[in-house]
Amino acid sequence: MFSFTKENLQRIEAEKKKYPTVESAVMPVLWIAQEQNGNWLSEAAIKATADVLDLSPAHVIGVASFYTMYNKQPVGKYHLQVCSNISCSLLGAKKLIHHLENKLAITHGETTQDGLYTFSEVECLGSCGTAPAMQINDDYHENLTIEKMDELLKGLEK
Amino acid sequence: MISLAGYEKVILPDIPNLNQIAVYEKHGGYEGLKKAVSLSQDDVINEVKKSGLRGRGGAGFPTGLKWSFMPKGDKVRYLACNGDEGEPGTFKDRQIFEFNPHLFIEGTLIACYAMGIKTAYVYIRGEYVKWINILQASLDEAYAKGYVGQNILGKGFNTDIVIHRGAGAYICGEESSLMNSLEGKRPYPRIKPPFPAQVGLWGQPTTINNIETLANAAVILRKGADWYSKIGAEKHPGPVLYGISGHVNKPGVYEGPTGMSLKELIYDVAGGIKNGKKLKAVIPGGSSTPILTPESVEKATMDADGLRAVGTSMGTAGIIVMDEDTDLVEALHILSKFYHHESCGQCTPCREGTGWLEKIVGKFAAGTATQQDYDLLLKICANMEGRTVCALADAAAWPVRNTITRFKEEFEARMIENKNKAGWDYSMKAVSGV
Amino acid sequence: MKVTIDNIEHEVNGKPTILELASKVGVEIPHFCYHPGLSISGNCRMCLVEAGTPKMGPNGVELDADGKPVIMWGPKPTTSCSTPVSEGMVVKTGKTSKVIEDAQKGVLEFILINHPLDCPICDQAGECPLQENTFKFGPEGSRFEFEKNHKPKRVELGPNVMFDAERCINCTRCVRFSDEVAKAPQLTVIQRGDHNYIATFPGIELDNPYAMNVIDICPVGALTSKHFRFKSRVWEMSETDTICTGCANGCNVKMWVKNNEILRQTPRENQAVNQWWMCDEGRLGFKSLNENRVSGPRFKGSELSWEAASSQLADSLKSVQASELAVVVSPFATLEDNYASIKFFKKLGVKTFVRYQHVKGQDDHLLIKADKTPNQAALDLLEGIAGKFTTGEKLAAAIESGSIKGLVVIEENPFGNGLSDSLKSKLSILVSFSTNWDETAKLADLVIPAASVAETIGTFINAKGIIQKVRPAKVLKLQNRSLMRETGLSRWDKHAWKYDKWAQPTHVTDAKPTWEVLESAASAVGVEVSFKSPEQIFSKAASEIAVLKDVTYEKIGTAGVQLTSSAKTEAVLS
Ligand SMILES: Cc1cc2nc3c(=O)[nH]c(=O)nc-3n(C[C@H](O)[C@H](O)[C@H](O)COP(=O)(O)O)c2cc1C
Ligand code: SF4
Ligand code: FES
Repeated sequence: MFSFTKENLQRIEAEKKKYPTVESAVMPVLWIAQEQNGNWLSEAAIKATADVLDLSPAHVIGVASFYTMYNKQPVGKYHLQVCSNISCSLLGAKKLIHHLENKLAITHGETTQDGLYTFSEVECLGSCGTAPAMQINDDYHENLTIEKMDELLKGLEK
Repeated sequence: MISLAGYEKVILPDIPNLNQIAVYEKHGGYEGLKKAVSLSQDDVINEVKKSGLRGRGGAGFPTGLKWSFMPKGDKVRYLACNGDEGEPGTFKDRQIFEFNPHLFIEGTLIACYAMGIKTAYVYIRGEYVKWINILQASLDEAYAKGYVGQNILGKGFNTDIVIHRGAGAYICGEESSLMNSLEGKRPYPRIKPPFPAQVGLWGQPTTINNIETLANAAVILRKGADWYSKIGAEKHPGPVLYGISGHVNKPGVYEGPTGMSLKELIYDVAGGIKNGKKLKAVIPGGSSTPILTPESVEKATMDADGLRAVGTSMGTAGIIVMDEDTDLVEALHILSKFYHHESCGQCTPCREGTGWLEKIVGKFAAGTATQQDYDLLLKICANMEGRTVCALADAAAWPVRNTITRFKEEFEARMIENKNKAGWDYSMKAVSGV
Repeated sequence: MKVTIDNIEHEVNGKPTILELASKVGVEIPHFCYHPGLSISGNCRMCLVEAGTPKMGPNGVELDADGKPVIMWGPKPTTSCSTPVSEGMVVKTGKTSKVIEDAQKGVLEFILINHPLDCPICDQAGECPLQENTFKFGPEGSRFEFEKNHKPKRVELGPNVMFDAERCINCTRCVRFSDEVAKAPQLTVIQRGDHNYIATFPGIELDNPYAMNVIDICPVGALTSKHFRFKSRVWEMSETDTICTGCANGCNVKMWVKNNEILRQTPRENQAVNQWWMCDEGRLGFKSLNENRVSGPRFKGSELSWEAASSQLADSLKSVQASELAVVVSPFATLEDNYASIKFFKKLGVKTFVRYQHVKGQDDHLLIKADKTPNQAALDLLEGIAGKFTTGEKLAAAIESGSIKGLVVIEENPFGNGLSDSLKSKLSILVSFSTNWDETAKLADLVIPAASVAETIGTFINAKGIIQKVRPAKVLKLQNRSLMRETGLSRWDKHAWKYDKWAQPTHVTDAKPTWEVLESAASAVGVEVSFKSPEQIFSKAASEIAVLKDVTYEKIGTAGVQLTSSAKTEAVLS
């Protein structure tokens, strides 16, 4: 079961006030739900979002499933999102991805057994000038090399 | 010849801590807003019209004209500020958020004043958490100082600015998709007409502008349309943020006048091709704009006319540079996969065509394509272009059409018929790397 | 306003879209996502046309050398479903424009690349817009040579609807219907791009009272009826235009019959009655027309011939005083059967006519009426002839007190509606004209099988005062399908020769319309009536009831006639 915390219910009220219709608050509320639910949206979290906004659950899952950043499955403690679009690939993103996949023994969309890492190949992150780039959870890491990536992962293990 | 020599930066000037309101004010910040509110609404719109500013979001529509489409009267109306920045090769709006957020806020307020708008929504792509936080902090400062909110500058005009975080969907950068996303609907682009200026957000008149466009509006009001229109190309004037990425020595966002030569940007501004390699191809304005051969790059200037002359367009001025070792087939495969991944799926030709294109380009990448596949790609493009609700289908077809025709030999070499002739290595080859 | 489509000029009133105008003037523009009862989504891109408007110069419309207006063509094809016509507009459809012809071919090719092409096992085949449009406008073959996308198949969206996501072409008609018409937003599109398809929220069913309409509007075989799946090919069934008698709304339907068994009902457009829709309960209500039918007359449990039944009827009626006889008329029966019964028994001297009400719940926002009977309004009119109807409670009291000793029930079920079984012993005779083995038929001494609404002709007046006609979809024993003028025919009936027809004369009920049985017993009980056909009975009724004065079967047709608003209270002429 999922129910919003009291504090989050207050945040939701504040979000609702930002828009002329309650329906418009669906994206911010899904963000809040995802945050509270450990960085992914369970069916229960989507249902709770629908209920708190008085929307049909079908509509909310239709919205949530459209966007890539609402995670429909649990993700690891560190969500490694490596850009594989054009500018990053020109500068070696595919090699980084191979390296990461080999190192963690997972491919796109998978999570390591220990639940620490999820790897996703993502579209352009807007870091073309500092390519190749990846996001670990919300943080950007740019101008990556294989060494830099190993370094970063080492830092996370601690 | 328009050149960077002697150009004074106004969008991203080299001033430390310009994101702090006190620093911003010290350097002429919010003067443009003060100027604007001393004028009538129509005069502000005319000033923007006179400046010749054209949208920086990709379509290059004249901004003043767009603002003048908003109906008069007291209907509730909205501004949507487009910070979705999803076009591959584009990474400029985040620089404004990071280094000069108040310029954007000021431009937004000027737009709201000119069009009688009481609420502006800033739609920022979901990944940009860092930049959302920076903008929010600046916005809080601006509220505290009375630039945003009620009775702005004591002139009795009220405007709120609300930040809305996206969640990972390139299509939300398309203006009508953006509106549906903001409304909490599935972000399908809308059929036009009706245009947003008639029926936009929540059914009300709405204007959508790119972040950089709005920042430019602040510069226009601060420095005057006469000053502004003299910068860069005559018919497409103003400062512009060039985002240069790929195989150059100094990739990054560079401010300069429109109309600069593409060569100067690549070889001088961005320090030339990495490792002393030769140039193979350039995409001049974000991934959707037609790719250029080195011969065209020689001639191209970065403005609407200059780029039209070489069969491409300005887009977002995101310049993607590819050196001689680049596997263009693989590069196109990456772009086709992107558009396939990002099609919203409502229109038949786009939903089905983007996937089909990716599959056939994949055959070229794998070395199993034939002449028939080549011809078929062009036919599929023809069945997608101009047949859909929004321009994503065109954006998906153009790179295919232009890459395979402008670099035909490279695709022919990958056909199975030519396998032995060309001596290619047919294992999936990554684009040349570090 | 003048608008030209494919070189033919049309005079236009109002501001229709190009597609609306085209369908009105009989120009075919293929489409999938457009439905006249739903909002415009413009997503299938099938209805493309080229459209141009006259070029305006300083002196009005600019003319070319031939004095014809110069036309400004749009830069690209436009969707006719979303584009309103304007003065002087010129439109080219695929018939006159190569660009459009090719564009539509292209759209169909795109739709088909990920479509399963399993028409041979698809229920929709034979009535499939995708199949038909591909046949008429599509490419000859496909140039797609990859594995198709895979998506969920055989998904139970709800108690009545099955879904095959691979067949779905994402037109979103079903989603729009649920949101806009049924006002039950249980469906959505999930995912995006070519991965998207229709879904409900996990654990929530598509179970609104109108859910099955999505099956009808689905332009492919993605949404199918759990009750009809794999029962029949479309062309094997006859389709009969008739009405649903499930409530006082009287939705217009087609009844689909194979081997004399109703396999499904689908709504038929009638803007005044039900637009394009019907409720699921009514749609599935046909089961009682197939099953549990009274077949062949019975007296005290033993079967009788029809001759024996009519003399038994006469004997039974003569065995009680007319003043001690009550007749239960029926809001479920045709106006004709009720009229004939009232006339017959009035002549016999009967004074007590009884009528039951069947009200459940409340009218809803769309079609469903609280009055679960289709013909109370006809009884309102007939009250002038019958005299004030007695209620069920009063009937029970009269039987209890012994003032009523005989009961004739015309296609009603008093013992299933409050009349206690124990009162049966106080009746010296109980005659029931019954379609089904309900409580009353089971108790009755004499049971006369009655033709159901699926086997008879007759009129019903709905809650809005619209008089409509039922037509026979099934034949009765002793009837020949092709001789029944009003019965719908299948494509086989119409086009095949006799050796191609493997329809079996099964599921035949031995029943007769009530009026026919009454007529056959009339002389034996000494009543003078002449009932020849439903139409003749109706014209007799119409001559007696003011509000029906100008109404004829021909006028009623398959669309019905709105009676004047005073219908319910109109006095009897004579
Ligand atoms: C598929 C697609 C994606 C787009 N993405 C963006 C975007 O990320 N940012 C943007 O400003 N404009 C984007 N646009 C352009 C917008 O629709 C719109 O033209 C622009 O925001 C208008 O602002 P401007 O007039 O200031 O340029 C996109 C257009 C399409 C068709
Ligand atoms: S063109 Fe593609 S992205 Fe645009 S509305 Fe149509 S399906 Fe969606
Ligand atoms: S009917 Fe017009 S786009 Fe589908």
